[in-house]
Amino acid sequence: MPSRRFFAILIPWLAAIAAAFFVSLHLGRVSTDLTRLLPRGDAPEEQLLLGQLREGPATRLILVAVGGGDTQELAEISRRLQAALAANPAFSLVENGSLRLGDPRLEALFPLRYLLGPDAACREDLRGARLRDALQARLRELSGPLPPPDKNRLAADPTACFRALLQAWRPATEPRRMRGVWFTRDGTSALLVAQTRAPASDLEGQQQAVDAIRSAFARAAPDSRASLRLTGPGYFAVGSRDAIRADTTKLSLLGSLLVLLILGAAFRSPWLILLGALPLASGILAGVLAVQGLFGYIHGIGLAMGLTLLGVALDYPLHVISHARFGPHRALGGIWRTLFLGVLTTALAYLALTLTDFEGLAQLGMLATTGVLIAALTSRYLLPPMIDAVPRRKGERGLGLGLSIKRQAPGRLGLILGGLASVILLVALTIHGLPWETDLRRLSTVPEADIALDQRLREEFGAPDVNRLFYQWADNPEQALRRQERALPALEALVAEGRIQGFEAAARYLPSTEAQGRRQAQFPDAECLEADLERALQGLPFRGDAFAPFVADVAAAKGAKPATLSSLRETAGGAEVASLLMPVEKGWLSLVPLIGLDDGGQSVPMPPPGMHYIDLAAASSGLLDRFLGETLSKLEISAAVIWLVLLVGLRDLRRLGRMLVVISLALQLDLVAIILLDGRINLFHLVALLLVLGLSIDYSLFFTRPGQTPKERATTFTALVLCALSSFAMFALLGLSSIAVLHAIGATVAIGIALAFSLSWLFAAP
Amino acid sequence: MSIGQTPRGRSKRLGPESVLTWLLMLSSPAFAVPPGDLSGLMAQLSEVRSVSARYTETIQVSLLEHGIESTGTIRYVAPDTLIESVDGEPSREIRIQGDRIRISEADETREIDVGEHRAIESMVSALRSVFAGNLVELERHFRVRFERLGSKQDGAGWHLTLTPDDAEVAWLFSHIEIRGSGREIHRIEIREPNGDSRTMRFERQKIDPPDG
Repeated sequence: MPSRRFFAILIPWLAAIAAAFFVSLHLGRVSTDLTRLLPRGDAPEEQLLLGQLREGPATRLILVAVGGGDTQELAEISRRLQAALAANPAFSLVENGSLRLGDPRLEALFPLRYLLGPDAACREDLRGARLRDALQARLRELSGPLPPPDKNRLAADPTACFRALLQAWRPATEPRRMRGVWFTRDGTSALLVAQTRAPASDLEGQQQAVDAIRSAFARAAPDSRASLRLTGPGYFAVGSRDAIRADTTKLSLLGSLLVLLILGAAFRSPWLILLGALPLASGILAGVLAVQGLFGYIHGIGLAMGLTLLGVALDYPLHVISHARFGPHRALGGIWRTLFLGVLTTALAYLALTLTDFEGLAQLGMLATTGVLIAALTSRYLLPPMIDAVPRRKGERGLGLGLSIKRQAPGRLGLILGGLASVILLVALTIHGLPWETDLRRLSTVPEADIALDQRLREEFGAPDVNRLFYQWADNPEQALRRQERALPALEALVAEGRIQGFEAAARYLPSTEAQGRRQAQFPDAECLEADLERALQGLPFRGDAFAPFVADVAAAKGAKPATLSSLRETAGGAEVASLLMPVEKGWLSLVPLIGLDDGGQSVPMPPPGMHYIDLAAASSGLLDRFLGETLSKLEISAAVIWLVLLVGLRDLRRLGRMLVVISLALQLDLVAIILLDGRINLFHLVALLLVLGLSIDYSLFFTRPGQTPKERATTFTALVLCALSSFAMFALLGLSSIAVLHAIGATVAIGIALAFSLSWLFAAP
Repeated sequence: MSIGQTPRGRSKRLGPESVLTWLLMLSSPAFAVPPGDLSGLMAQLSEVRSVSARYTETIQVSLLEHGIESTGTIRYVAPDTLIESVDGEPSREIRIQGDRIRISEADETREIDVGEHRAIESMVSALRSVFAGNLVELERHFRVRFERLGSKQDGAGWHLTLTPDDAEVAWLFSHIEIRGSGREIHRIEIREPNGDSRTMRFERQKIDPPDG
């Protein structure tokens, strides 16, 4: 049992850790919104892009495919699923292609038909001979083989204005219909589309929506062979969160167990193992608190990557314990300078990240820098007295591994190897190009098969390419709609020229108040309409009073307040309009998604005056490019600073030379290994390389430490083996994960540790 | 149960005159084997290879002063073809075959998918399944009520009431009533929720194979 002094430090320390933990929980707010990792962006383009990524209507779509049964069965399931989900407030829109004649959202739209519908059926047909033609057309339909589906509305709508309105609102392309509902072209799966109210970035909301679909399906298809497949941004986000959570928990538990075993075998004392863990825990909490205090929240991915970078902080207590406990007398005093240099350079490397205007990266830098410093300070000032207070067991000896640090390789070999590595790297880069991963989708953790399914379903739906669109700013919805109305002829010309197959625009659904006013002026007044109607009815078999509801409705429309965004909120088409015209921070943003943009000409169609063109995919990969570029440029700055610090701190060019050979070789070879293994380098690889940088500074500093006795060198070597082995165990396990992010980090770091350690050993100083 | 399965011992006991009476009975539609239940009726109808008949259609719409009447011929060919030709100018033909409906009117022909709309699908299914005696298909879309009409002497009269299961279909028509006797369909009436209706009466039917 350790002495009282041990507990006199331990108890306040643990209390501080516990307090920090609760404060952090209370400050709370771990954000899992991937888009927050990206820069805030000042340019309107970037804001639009981020808004789209975060909230855009396309991100709230979940595509549903029900397969594995006969057409009849699948159609039934599709209907039941549609009915159940449409009643669920989690969804703003659920469509399966069915007509749903009695849908209350259609009923709510019906009174607005004259204000919103197309000219021919909703205004021109209300007068004179055109009215008679319309009545005759209805009569033919009545006596036709198939009664018109809107027959019940005939008395109030003899010109079939509502039918024309719905026709005009139909999407340009739709999946094929079988048994009255959407099916894939091959007829094997029924298709539905659900729009969640929660944005894709609200993972809780998305989770609830996905759960709702699953349970509705289970009820809609009991004892059925039918199977449910989902795709869509929100679904992917939920799936990846669950997968990451499960894998991280499993692998880090296993990893911690391995590290415990390694430390247990080395230290043979639970108290010393505890001391090994305390600085790391303190560092993590301090880092998290610093980020929460500064940013108001912490990003989930920033947290995960920050913890990764803090892996280097496990080394500090291990050095201290190894030297204080198992080294020769006063060995501990000799490592402070080396340790200090290591901590300082690592902290500087991570600090560079805080200078970026990418919030996620800045958080990551903040967390890692604070964590490294706190772990080092606690290791320096709290650990030594506590280590002394742990009584030695009988016969406790040094940690001799029977190996020590010897000068292994002449400096010239370093130059040759360094040159060789650079050549390999150059060759690899020439073959592959600099394979930065700039496809945002591939940064996610979605399996390839799911991405392929998503692609296929989108094609089946003929959904507009949500990546390419015109957009426009306005002060208010009315201004936005008027501007769009002026642009409609130019847009229609693009369709006529074949440059695009079609487009979506809010003004096609909702005319501006001004335009609606012009329409109202065109409606005949009640007297005029009654007179025209009387003439039109002559010689037709309709009852004289048959169309009284029609006269009343036109009169109501003439005097009605114009329809606005809010009048469409609960009607059919309302969700579509809301996704095309939306309030943003300053004003209103309207989107005009382009359908079937012809890529052959390579040139982008000229947007109508006042509109701008954006390719979201290109813009997002540009953003990611900048993200990576900025990270790299900040790293260049920190590399220069680190080099200076080491130069001043070591005042030994030969030692610095050896260290640089080790560090640059380790990083270059690791990079080559990543390119060979994964083909591309993504953000997570880059963060992992940062940790490898920190670790190789640490290893090479200790391996090149001059002026030690052989016994001291043996102790240092053992401490380094412990450090490398425990970090390696942790990250190699992560590298086994099938999740791209975890694999990237784990494999990169594990390979980097192996490289940094063996190279440091190879280029050790005497 | 078919006649061929009658036990031997029993047919031995029939004298020549009873055989004659029996044949006479069979050849007259009115004395066809009375369908004791729905599946019996459907089994009988399913033996029909083709039917052709003249029809008169009356459409009653509350908005109209009087009903609209039209005449024409209808032809059913097993298992899934229905052709309706309307008399008069311009001529009009509706041909339902498999999954397609083809409507030819004057020079214009348009085609739609039977499955395009639920209501059309139900209506087509009602007509076709009754002609084809396909109870399974009928029960997919409707609750089916079967009634035998008249006394035992009349024998073969029947009345089917089909009520759509689906709310969307029910919005368009509340039920379909079909009357007939033996393998002959006499009248199909489609009733709408607002009281409107379409009634088709058939006469001069030619059924293949003929009875007996």
